Amino acid sequence: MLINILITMFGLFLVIAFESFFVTLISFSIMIPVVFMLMDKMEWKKWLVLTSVCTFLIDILLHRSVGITLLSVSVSSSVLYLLFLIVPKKQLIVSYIPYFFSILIFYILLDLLSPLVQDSVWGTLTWIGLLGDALRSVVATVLVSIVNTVISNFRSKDQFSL
Amino acid sequence: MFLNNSKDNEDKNSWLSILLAFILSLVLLSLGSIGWLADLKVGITYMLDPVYTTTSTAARNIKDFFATLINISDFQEEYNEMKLRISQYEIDNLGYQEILDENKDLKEQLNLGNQDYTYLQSEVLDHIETDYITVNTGLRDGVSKGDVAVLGNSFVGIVIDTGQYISKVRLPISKSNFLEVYVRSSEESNQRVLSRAVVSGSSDGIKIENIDMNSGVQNGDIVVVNDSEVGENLILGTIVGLSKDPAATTREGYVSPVIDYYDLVNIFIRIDHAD
Repeated sequence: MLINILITMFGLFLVIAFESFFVTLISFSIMIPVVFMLMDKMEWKKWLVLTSVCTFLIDILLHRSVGITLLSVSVSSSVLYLLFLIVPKKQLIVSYIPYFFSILIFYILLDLLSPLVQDSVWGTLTWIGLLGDALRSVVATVLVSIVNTVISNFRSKDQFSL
Repeated sequence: MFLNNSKDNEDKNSWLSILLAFILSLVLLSLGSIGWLADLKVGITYMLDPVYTTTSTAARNIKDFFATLINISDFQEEYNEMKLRISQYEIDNLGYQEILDENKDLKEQLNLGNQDYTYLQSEVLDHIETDYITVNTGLRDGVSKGDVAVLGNSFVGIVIDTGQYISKVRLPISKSNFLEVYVRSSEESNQRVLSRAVVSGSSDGIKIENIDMNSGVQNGDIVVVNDSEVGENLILGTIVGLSKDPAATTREGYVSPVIDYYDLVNIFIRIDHAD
């Protein structure tokens, strides 16, 4: 139990540090693919606690309004959930399309809502900005697919526990 | 334990977890907006600001390295030009040093030093979106919300959020930025105030409005901030793209900033009423 808590805290620290690094470097959020990957691999209560704590700390770290990242995550997660009602999960390429759109929505929401909450003015969306968001979403989706493939090859899903 | 595979329960409850996350985010936003999380934020920034400073500095170094690598041929040309210029500047510098000493003596004599403010040198850490920058000074250094960021006599922005070690500065290009200004003639011989106006940020740049139709303002005239929040006599930039509608009662245009906000390395935070 203690080891699990320590591993979780260390993982949380790593996610926060990498989030800060990649957001500064290319405005890429490492947290959103991690959150989506853990979504179907973790008990929902633990996922909720971990996501809330992680987004709370990231908001403070990046000087966003507290709660804005969690709001974007929850909306994009609900989009992911809804898309998976119509898209089959077991197919290799098609099953990652919902991830792409959900992550894209996360970036768009963050661009729009962050200035709105902080300064009461909607954020500006440009075509170049959207293209950048789409590229980041593709990278994040590829990351999710690689990790899922590695995990599924590493051990069978029924045995997956830590 | 943390990564078990209870898929049936997940499908039933994942919707619930998303709903709870949504509600929690709204609660956090509400608490944040009424300031109840301020003390908690200050406590957490003690731990997190060093993480942010370290990682963002590393990221900026990598970014700068690749930017240099891409532009290496330009830098080579620039280097050769600069070697020639440096020789010229070294000669000029001797003359300027003499003028500087004279200026210092004159200031002391006339007591022109501005003693109402203290200026805190701050290093720019990062640009957040296009409208904000973060700097490496915060509450520990005496920076507080509402302080003004300057560079020389040029206006850079207003501090809108402070952590223990880091502050966030809103640039004039931000859409949330509204400032009262006056427009001064750019002619050497006639530097009188031509008109009052208002500037605000927009996606196209810094917009200037409400310029008197008959004030004689022209493109290239100097825009000086004269706002109760900022203070007086900080230069914002020069007017470009002035409207020419004869039917209008006022004119509008854009301000070309005197500083390139994306090349800033150091700025100064003006701390009001320093003890």
